[in-house]
Amino acid sequence: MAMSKIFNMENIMSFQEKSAWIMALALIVTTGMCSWSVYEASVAAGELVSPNLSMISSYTLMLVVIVVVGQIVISIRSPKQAATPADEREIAIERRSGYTSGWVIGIGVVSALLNYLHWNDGDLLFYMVLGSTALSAIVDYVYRIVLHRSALF
Amino acid sequence: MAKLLPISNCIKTLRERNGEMTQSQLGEAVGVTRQTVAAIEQRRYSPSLETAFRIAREFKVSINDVFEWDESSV
Repeated sequence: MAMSKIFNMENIMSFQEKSAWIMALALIVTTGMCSWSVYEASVAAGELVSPNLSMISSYTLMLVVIVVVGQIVISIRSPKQAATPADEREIAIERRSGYTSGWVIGIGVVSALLNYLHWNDGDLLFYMVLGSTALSAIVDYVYRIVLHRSALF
Repeated sequence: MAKLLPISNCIKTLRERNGEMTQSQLGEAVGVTRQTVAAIEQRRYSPSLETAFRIAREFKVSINDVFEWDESSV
């Protein structure tokens, strides 16, 4: 009984917050694994390895699988919440986190372009844009969680 | 301690007076989540005017009876 209360997230988190946790964790895990693979391959090769479509697509597929399974699990556990659209506070949270993550991707992409103009390295440009995209998505979901917890805005 | 928003309210008291209505029940009645009702009660979120009116209507009182501008927290 006590354990079921501890793991009963129904009343603690809204569906949107649970969904943000899944997205954040899935993005952190897959981005971390992908970055480590590139790092290891680059160390072995002695230079930055070129982007590999099969590696990128395998991590993208892994991300999709984790997110889909996670969303199905929380939807099954809270079917009523899953069917309810985001309310006004949740929409405001999404708007605010989206604004912040927009800055992250913007700064990342501009930095990547400036870096390309200086070094003329297309591989680095690719990794910087991909990294900025992933980082911006992580910032988006982590900030959503923070706002759901604090709700100060 | 977290900063309180300037709009105070007596939603908790009104819920208790209305047959121990839960936050989930009130949220369902006015179209927001239980977490949003909790955030409004704790003055961590100021509801939209529409939601404020819906809450007042749910308790059959005027909006001024539910929400108040708290000059001390400005």
